[in-house]
Amino acid sequence: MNYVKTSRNQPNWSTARILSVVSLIIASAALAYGYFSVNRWMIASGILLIALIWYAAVQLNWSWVPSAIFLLFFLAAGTGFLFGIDAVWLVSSALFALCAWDLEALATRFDKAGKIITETSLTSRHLLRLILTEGSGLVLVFIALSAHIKFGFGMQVVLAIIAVLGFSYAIKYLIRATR
Amino acid sequence: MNRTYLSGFLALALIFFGLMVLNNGILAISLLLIVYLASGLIFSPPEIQIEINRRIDPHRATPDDRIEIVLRISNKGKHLEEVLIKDKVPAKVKIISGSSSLLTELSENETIEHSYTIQGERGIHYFPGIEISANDHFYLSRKITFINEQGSIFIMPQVPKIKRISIRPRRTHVFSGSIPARIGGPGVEFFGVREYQFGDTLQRINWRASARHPDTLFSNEFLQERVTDVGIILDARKATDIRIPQGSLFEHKIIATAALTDTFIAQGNRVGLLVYGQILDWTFPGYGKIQRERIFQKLARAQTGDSLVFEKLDSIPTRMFPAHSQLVLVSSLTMEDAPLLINMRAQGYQVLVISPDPIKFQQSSLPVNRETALGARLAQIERKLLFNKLRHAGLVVLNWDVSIPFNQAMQVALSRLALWSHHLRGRI
Repeated sequence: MNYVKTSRNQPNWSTARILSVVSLIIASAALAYGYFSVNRWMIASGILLIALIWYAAVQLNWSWVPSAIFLLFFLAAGTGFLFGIDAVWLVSSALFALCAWDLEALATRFDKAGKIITETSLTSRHLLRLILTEGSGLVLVFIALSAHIKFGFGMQVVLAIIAVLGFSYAIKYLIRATR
Repeated sequence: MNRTYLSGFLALALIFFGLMVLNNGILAISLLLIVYLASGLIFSPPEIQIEINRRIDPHRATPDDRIEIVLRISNKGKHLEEVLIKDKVPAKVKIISGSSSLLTELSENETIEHSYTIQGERGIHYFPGIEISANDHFYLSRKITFINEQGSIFIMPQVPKIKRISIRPRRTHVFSGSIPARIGGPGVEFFGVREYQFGDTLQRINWRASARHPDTLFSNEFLQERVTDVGIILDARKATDIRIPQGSLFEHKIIATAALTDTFIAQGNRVGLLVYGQILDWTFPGYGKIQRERIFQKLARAQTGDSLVFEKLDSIPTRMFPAHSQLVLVSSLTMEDAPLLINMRAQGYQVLVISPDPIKFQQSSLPVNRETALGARLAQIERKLLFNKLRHAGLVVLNWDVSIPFNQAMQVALSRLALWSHHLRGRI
């Protein structure tokens, strides 16, 4: 399918953007429900509000807003564990926030490209990769939540250092590959 | 913000936070990001090995013509998941259909074609190259390369067609052309009568004159038509240019110069061009299509400029032009230009001035009110005085209202120039 952008100012409602909005709705609903379930009304309504800001930012072409809100969603999901919110809501909200952020970035790339050849194929391959990646991530998350391994303080420090170093190396590699 | 940095920073922040508060849930959701980042690492794009060939059709065009650009893209390397190809378009070129950038996936050995249409302003425009950026589906790792596929388009000025420009310089060349040469011989226009010479055809005998002189025969002589030297001077001084939102007066001067060049060369004359602005850009006189191409290329590149030396027209090196040849000045003229033009005429040059009207041009962009009308009227009076002064000195000055196309406005005046200059000479 050939797709030609009609205007630079108006975002195109491509499949990626529609799915991004759907993911955003699920993510914000799950997170808001989680906070609502522990009687944190203010935070729950704040989450719904920032979901609306995300939507408005897409309309106004403020490309940095979805990234900032994605960060907030993940931090809110992480903090939710401290409030004793059910892990299902928090994990699903983080999962769909990641999907929404990723698909919004794809839709923005589609908007910026003048012409797209095989848009349908690009979108479907992207979705397949996203489902596989997030599916494996989800499996790992549930394994991590169900497994109970006790480490001593020293072991925890060593694991933390390995995690930090490993991460730094991985990010460096990705940045280098971008040249 | 870079997506890799953002997701990496967030994953690290969650790990630290989880370790600080000893919460496995927080650590667990960081796994979503870790797997996401790992995917970017695993599926990072291979080396870009793309060959691109740009086809431009046509290479030469006018500002109104549509130019089609076709990119033939061949992937000689491995499969690329997402690749953005951006053809860098020259600044003064606008895309009128399609797009110069293309997002696609490219399989191994796949070849695709992409096209778009452009229109350009007068000039020679160079395509700097093509930027290719390949990334994984999540846009976490990216490879960028630049293909130095250069190309150029030549947007020549518009050339309105003028049938004939009737000039009568004092000096002509020996080759036959269309300029009456003030010498008797074979031709069309009657020149005079002389005594019959051996070899004259019967058709040339003037029987009426011969009848009056019984022992002598007389033959008709016709005006020989030859080619001549024409020097065109294009005034590119910034001081004489006017820019309004609709365009620049200089562009109209270019159009006039192109039309004059085309007609003079089509009539077989030897034409040279002097662009008088920041520098003296001189095209040596020559004949034919090659010379026309040379002049058009100069006109395509011509720009207005400022120079203290060439602030006034008195720095025109008249010796560059053959003596007694025809000079054509395309200028909107200022009051200071009159003495130099009169001096050129005094040196024996036949001077024709085509003057695009700067007052009407500027007035078209100004509000219609009493003050503007009064100012324009005063400026027109001053301009008429300048024209009268020049005409009294024997120059032929044609005022061109640029709202009318050059060929429509000037066709009649240019085809009757000889009569007009003759009339002027008689009057003076």
